[in-house]
Amino acid sequence: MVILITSDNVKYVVEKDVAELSVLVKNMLEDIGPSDEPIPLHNVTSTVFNKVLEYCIYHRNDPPPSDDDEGCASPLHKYLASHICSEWDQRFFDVDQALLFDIILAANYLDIKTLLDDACKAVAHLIQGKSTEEIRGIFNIVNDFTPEEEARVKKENVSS
Amino acid sequence: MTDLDIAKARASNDEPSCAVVTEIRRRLSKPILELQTRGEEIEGLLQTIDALESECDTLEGTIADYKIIRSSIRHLPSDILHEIFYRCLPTHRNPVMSEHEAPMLLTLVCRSWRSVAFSSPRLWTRVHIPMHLPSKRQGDNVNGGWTSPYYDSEDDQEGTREDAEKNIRFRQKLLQTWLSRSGALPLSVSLSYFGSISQSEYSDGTTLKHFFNTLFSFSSVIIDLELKMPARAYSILFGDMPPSTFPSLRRIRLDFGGRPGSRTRISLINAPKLESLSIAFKGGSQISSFLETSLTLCNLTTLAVHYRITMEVAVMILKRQQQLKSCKMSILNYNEDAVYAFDEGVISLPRLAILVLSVATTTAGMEEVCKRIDAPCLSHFGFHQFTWHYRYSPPALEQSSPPPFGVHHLLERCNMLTKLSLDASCTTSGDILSCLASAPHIIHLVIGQPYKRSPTALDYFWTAKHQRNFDLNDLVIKQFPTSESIQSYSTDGEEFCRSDIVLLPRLEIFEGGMMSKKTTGEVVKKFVLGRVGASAIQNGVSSLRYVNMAIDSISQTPSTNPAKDIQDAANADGAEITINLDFNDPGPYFWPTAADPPDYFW
Repeated sequence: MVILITSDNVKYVVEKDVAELSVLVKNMLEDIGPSDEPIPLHNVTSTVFNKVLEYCIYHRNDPPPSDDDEGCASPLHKYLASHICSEWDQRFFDVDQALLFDIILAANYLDIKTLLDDACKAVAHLIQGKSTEEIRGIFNIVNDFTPEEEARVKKENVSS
Repeated sequence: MTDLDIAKARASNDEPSCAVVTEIRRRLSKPILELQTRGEEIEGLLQTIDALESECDTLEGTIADYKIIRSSIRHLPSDILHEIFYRCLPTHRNPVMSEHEAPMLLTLVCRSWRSVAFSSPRLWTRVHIPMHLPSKRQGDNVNGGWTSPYYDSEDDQEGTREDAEKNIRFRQKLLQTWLSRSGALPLSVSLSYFGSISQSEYSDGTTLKHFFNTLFSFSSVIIDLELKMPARAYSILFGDMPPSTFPSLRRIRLDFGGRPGSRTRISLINAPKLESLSIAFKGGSQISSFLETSLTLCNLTTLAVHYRITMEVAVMILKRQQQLKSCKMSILNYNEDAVYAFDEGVISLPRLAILVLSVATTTAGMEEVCKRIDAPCLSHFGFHQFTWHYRYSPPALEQSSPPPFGVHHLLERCNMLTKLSLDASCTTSGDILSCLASAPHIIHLVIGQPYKRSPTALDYFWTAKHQRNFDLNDLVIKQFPTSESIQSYSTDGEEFCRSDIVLLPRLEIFEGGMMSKKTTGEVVKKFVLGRVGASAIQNGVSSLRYVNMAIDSISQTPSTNPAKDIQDAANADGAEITINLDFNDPGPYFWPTAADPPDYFW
């Protein structure tokens, strides 16, 4: 078991294989060797870590991620991932935007590639199929183009 | 004046006396005054509410202003924003050069997104270019009835040739800018060309020539090329191009309309690093001889031929392409009674992992080929039927006696086979049982064409055939299974019905399309519950994890929800399983016509 402490001083006792999905934690464990010392997670609050932990427990038996098609995942794992896990993931990422971005930042800090990838996909899903106005509305983005700039960038894409 | 006098006056229609009127006036003066006061109070409150609402609007505006500043997305470092942007690209095709789709869309949101998008070369490594160039002469049909598969989504079908040329000139500039942003990263380009072209006008330095010169200036870094165009257009645009023009090309997908000319050679197939070829012809005749000459030199690991070839050509390809890892072919023998004389020896495919064969109703040569293929690494085998014979007329759905194909000869030598896709409408029950008995390592079984949740008419074309020769009862574990050897079966299937052999002990995923009326909710229940959780352990089999079945609702309409019942029972048994059972009434099917031909089957 591994003891992890979040930035708001909440202590978690986590099974080693689950904790080691985080490359950051894995490296720290390797560095300090066998020890009961808690590992501090400075940039993650307990609210966010609860979600991260939920993800890691569900995906603990997934094959390691790979960049190429032939990767480590067997066809069976890939198939099940696309047919079963995706539904679970969809429910998992159905959270408010602030939490979703906090999960991304936590996944980035903890170096959990699959969580980072899946969370980025969830954000991309909010963008796909939307107009620029809708995207600005969703993410509270200001249209900071001047009218002249806006006319110019639009013209780049339209044959006149 | 008493209350009684007032009550009497109210109970009659007589004119009230002056005393009554005076008394009523006296009595009304107070409530009228109070009502007036209350009205004024309400008015005051309404004004207060309006003022408060106005204040709320102001506060909300202020909060929104600050929220914009505190917007979560602003906290993301640009490398994560790069990742998110990359995930916005379409996954099943290349992005088009449109402001309505990533990556172009992302450049129009705000200055910082524009900057991040432009600084991410990965976003600009894939592009789809739809092109349409109408004929100079009205009424020309240069495409042989073929239309672009992207036809519906492309926005430049209409208009004059001048408009189209103007559009191509614009796209040429856009393409240059787009691909330049990709840095030196490998490129994936798909191009669908629909329109008129002649050798002379192309060679004379037309708009089209300039466009393709721009594209070819990036040819050294293109690793993935997809071309959808009339075969004639390919000959003009790419025909004279030496394979060395695309030194990095690894994958090519060709989708041609019209038949290839007798002198057509697809030189790109011989690109030095080519590994994967997918080729399709629409509206052409058989392409056997064409493939025979084109596939002489290349050394492929992935091959998909989406059009009918003869058994001889299929064997020729398999013999020459010994490095294949994945192969999909569609085989049609014109002469059902033909006897094929194959060379002696095995067809050795030492690296082949995926083999999908789609055959017409003829069997000639198939059993012999199945006996000769030696593919020790085969992990996925698919065997389907395509309905070329009755392309424009409905087939007899319940064929009296489908022919045996002898596929089990191949499967019984494949110890690594984990996935099997079988079309149980085209071969005998005995063949199917032999296959299931020959491949005990199977984890994933698909019966019929893979079922799609929202079948279009075309999907239904391929899933509509009842899988009548498959009986799910064969996979139900009997109460007391024995360890009887599977060698005792006979190919007519009868022996299996009498024995208690456990077929497919490692099965974890089962998918079935258009299950016949034998597949009742009760049978599904027995099949699943005998193979999950504690029951699976007790029966010595792997636990099922995913079951997805389409059952013809014309055969049966369930009164309850069998999927839920099974799921609940499995969960109570401590098993984790996902079950989808669709009792599907596909309705009448409109058969393809010459004007609306069927598409490919994979």
